[in-house]
Amino acid sequence: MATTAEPPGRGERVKDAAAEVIVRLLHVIADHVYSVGLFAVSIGLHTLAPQVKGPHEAFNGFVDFVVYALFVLGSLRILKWAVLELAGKRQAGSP
Amino acid sequence: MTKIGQHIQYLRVRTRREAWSLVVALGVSSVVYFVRAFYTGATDFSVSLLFTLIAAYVLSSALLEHGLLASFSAVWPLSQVGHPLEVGLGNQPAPEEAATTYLMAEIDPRALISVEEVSGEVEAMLKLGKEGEVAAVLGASVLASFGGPTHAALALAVAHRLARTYGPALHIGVHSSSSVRDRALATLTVAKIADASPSGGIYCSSDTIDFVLVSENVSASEFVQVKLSPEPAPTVRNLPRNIRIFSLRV
Repeated sequence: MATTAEPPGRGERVKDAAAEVIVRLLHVIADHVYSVGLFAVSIGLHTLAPQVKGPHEAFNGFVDFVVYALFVLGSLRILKWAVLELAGKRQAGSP
Repeated sequence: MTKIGQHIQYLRVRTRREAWSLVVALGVSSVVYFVRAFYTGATDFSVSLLFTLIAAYVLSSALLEHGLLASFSAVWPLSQVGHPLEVGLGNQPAPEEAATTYLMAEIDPRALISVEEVSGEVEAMLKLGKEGEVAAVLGASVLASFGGPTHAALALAVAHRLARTYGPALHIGVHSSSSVRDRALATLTVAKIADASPSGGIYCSSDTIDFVLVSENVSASEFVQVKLSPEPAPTVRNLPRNIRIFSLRV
């Protein structure tokens, strides 16, 4: 069952390098797409808030709460990413 | 599965966890908001609400990461079965059949897994090795009993199948020298997989079929304690030269 490792050819190396770049890109997107999404939804809801709000005080307060909460959650995600990055706990590109 | 495919699968699991932690955080703090509004009439975004939100997010995130809330993130089943799953036994005429039977008998019915896709043990092993692919089990209890390459390959194939279903968390490698491989993999299996946690685990990789064992989470004592053959089981400090150790952390 033993097999010997052959040195990878040029094509293989290029393929590996391309895969590496794609993987890194995927990780960057995965790291930030949620935070950006949360900010976007938060800002969108904030813009739409006057149309959404009605006569109920509690509901209006809840709309504001959701706007803030989404913003806070987005910030928390970025903070968490930054802390992990600084602590070197994250290995980009290695599942 | 290609390298990119493997990463995408990992990101899918991670994204699912992220989504759940956000939903839990938002849900908990919304409940707190409404309870507070009902009892006190306060409808502002107070500091206490902010702390609730942060605490709920951090807590749910940590719990999901460690698999304690895995059932909510749909990456649950095997980690909660609680008893080992025996794969590839003795002198069964058809290992696939035996494995399927054991899988179906031992595992949670919701997680029925068939190894029908495994057409042959050699093929499976070569495929796993040559593509640099690692088998993975998410918190699964796979107790493999090895009689030879067939069973090791079968166990890997099953683990691979589990990984495709549940995402990577625990990676297993195998060495090509059968005796070392069998002992080492069996040791690994018993030492670690039986009590594996979904997030912890053994991460191995290889550039050839000459695979690799061991992770940072397996202590030497754990290794030495388990002896499945008359020969001493390999230890972290005393591995044969041709076994290389990698530690890849998710």
